[in-house]
Amino acid sequence: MTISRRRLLGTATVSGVATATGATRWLPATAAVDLPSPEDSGIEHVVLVMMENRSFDHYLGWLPGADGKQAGLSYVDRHGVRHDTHHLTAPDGCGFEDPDHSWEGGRIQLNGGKLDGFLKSGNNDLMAIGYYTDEDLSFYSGAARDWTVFDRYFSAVMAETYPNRFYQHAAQTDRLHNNTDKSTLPTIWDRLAAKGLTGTYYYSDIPFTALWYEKHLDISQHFAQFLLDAATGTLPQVSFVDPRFLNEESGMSNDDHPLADIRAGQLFLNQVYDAVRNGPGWEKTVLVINYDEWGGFYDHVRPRRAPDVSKKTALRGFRTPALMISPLARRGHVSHHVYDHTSVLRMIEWRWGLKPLTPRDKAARNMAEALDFGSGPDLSAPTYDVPVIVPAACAPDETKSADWADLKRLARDVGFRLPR
Amino acid sequence: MIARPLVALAIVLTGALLSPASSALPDTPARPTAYVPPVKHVFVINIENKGYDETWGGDSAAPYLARTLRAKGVLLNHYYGTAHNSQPNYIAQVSGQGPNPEMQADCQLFTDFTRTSTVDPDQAVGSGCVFPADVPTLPGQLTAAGRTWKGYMDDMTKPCQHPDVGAVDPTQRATAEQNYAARHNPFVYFHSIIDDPAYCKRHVVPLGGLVHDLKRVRTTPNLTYIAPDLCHDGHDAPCADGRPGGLASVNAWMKRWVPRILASPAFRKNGALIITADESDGPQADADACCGPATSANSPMPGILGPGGGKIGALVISKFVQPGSWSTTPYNHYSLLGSMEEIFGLPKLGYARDEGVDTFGLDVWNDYSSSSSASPITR
Repeated sequence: MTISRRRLLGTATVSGVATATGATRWLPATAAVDLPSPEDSGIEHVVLVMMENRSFDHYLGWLPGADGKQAGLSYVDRHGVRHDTHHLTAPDGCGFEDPDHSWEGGRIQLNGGKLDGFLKSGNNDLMAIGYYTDEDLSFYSGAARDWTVFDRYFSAVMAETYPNRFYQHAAQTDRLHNNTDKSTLPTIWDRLAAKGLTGTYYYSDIPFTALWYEKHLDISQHFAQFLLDAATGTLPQVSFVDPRFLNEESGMSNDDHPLADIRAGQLFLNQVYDAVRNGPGWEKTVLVINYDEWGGFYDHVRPRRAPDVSKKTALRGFRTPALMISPLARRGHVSHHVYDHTSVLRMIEWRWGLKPLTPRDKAARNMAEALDFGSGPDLSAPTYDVPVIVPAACAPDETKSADWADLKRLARDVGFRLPR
Repeated sequence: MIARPLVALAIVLTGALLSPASSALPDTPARPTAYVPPVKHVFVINIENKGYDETWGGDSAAPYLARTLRAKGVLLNHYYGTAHNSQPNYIAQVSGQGPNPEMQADCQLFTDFTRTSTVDPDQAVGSGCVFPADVPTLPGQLTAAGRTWKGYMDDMTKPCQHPDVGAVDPTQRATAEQNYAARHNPFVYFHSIIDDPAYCKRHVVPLGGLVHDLKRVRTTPNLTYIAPDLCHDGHDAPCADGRPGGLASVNAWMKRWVPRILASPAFRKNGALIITADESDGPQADADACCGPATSANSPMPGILGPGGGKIGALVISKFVQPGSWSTTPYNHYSLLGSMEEIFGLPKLGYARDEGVDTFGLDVWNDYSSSSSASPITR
C-alpha cells in the first residue's frame, strides 16, 4: 500500500496553511483508498463504544493537527450579550443546564449555517460554549495523541440521543425525539445473524436494544460479560459497548452526558481500552470510540446533508469526538475525511460482506480507509494513567427527568435482566 | 479560565439570566432590552384546550395553522399553559395573577374576588373571580401609558358583555344561538375595567369590529387580543349548532381571520402575532409546567393535577422572526405577559416578575438585528 502517508502529510500541510490564513475549510485528499480484500484485512473483531453528548471543539479542540477551536470564539446569548468560549474548570456539570440538543435546538444553533446559536436554544447557559483541554482528560490526553482521531466525524443526525443511536444500529431513525415506542427498523444485528456471524450488544445499565422490545434480547449482554469475553478472546465479530446512562442529571453516569463527571467517562474508556489491548484478540481488533451527538456544545464546522431515507433526517448533527484504536490504526494521526456513525456500519458491512441497511450507510465513507494496512499490525499500546474517581452527586433537581428511566422500565417489562 | 461563578457574574453585570436555575440577586438591574424589537402592535389569539402535538404535530387537524401559518413564524415548542382549567390562563396573560379554586373551575359564579391580603409578587390572596379595582392589569398599564388596546370577542352580542356580578355565568355552555364564553374573555374579571362601562364598551368589543380597526394603523390598537368563540376556538366538538368544531373549526376560523391581520398596515409595519392555546386537553392529559411558580398564592396545584396547564406551544409571526424557525426555550403565559410588557416598555406584573419566568429573547426575535443587539453589550 503506497497510499497516503505522503498524501495525508501533504493534506495536513495544506490544511495548516488554510487555517493560518483564516480559511476554515480543510481540504482532505479525495482519492479513493485501496483497501485489501476484507478477509485479508486482519480485522476479526470490531468493538464500538458509543459515549454521549460532546462536540469536537468542546472536547478535542485542543488536539494538535486537528481542526479544533477553543479559546477565541464568542457567541451572543438570547439577550444580546456576547460571551467568549472558556475553559470549564469543574469536571462535572453541576449547577449548569444540560445544553439543548434536540432536533429543533440543533437547527437554532446551526442558524442556517451561521453556527451562532449555541446560546440561543433551550436553557443553554455558558457551559454550552465551554471546553475541556488535555489537562482535564486523562485518557484522551494520551489516546488522542497516540492513535487516530477524526476531525470531520459528525453525529449522524441533527437530533438527540435515540435518533443517533438508531443510526448506529440501523443507519436510520424512526423518530426525531426520544420515546419508548417499539422500533421495527432492521439492524446491523439482523445483517450479522443472517450471515451466521455473531454480534453482541454489551450494556452497563440500560439496554438501548430494548427499544426493539424482545427482538434483540438474545444478543444483549452485561458489560461485565464484555470484560470476560475480551479477556478470554471470545469477543464476537461485532461488539457495541455502552456506558452507564442512568443518573446523568445528578452527574453520576459514566457516559460523558452532562452533568456527568468527565473523569468517570475517561475511566470507563480506559477500562474498555485495557480490556481490548490486553485480550488475546487484540491483534485483529479495531476499537472505535464515538459519541451519539454533540450534546448542544459549540462546534465551528457546519454539518451537511447526507443521502438518507428521509429529508427530515438527512442533515447530520454537529461534529463529535471519534477515535480509532487498533494494531492496524495509524499512530498519532488525524483524519480529515467526513465520517458519521454509519461509517462504522460501512466498515462492518465491508469486512463481512453484509448488505447496506439504508442509502446512508451505503454512501458512507468506510472507516477502514483510515487504517494502515501496509505496515502490518503494531501490537504496542501505551498504558494510560487514569485515576479512579467516584463522582460526587450534583444537588438533585426534581424538575429534570431523564428518558433513560422510561427505557429502564421498558427493558424490565420486556424481559431484560438488568445489572444491579 | 472561567469557572461557574461567571454565571452569577453575568447576572450582576448584565442582568442576563443565562441560567434560569440560579436565583436572581436582589437589586439586580433591569435586563438590557436590546433584544426587544420595535414591535408596536401585538396581536394575541388563543385557541382552547389543545396540547402541543395535537395542534402543531404532523397529524394536526388544523393544517392551515400547523403548516401554512407555522411556516411564516417561529414555533415555541416549550410553551406551557399556567393552569387548568381555562379561565386562569387568560387571567395570567393579562395580569400575572395566579389561579384560585373558583378560577380553576372556570368561575361558574361571576362572584367578586374577596381579597384577604396581597403577597409577592403582587398576588391578590382570596377567593372569587372578579378582581378588586386596584389589581393591576396589562390593559390598565397600556391605558396609563397612552397606548391602546382592545379585546375582540367572537360572537359577543354587545360590547363588554358579562354576567351580573354574583350571578351564575349563563355563557358556560354554548347554545345554537350563542357561542361567546365570558370565561375566555379575561377583561371582564377586573373591576378596573367593568366598573367604567363606557371604558369597557370601548375596549371589549365584538370581533366584527376588527375588520374596520385593521384598515388603518391609527385605528389598530397596540394590543389586539382576540378570543374566538366556543366553536371557533376548538373548545366544542361538535359545536352547539352542529358545526364540526375542534381543530377543524379552528382551521376554518384562522383561514378567515389571520390573513386579514397579516395584511393589515399595522401588522406589516411593526406587528407581532402570537397564536397559542389556553391549556392542554385537560389536567389528566398534561398538567406540567415549564417555569415560574410551581404553586400559586391561591393554589397548591395550579394545574389541578400538576403545577401547570401543560405543553401547548405558541407561534409568533413578525417581520422580526425568521419564517419556519424554532425556539426551544421554556415559556408560559406569564412569559407572554412579560414579553408584551417589555415590548411596550412597561413594568412586569405579578408572576411575569417571577425569577423562573423568562421573556422572549433573540431566540424568538431571531430575525431582529438592530445594531444594538448584534454588537457586544458588555465589552
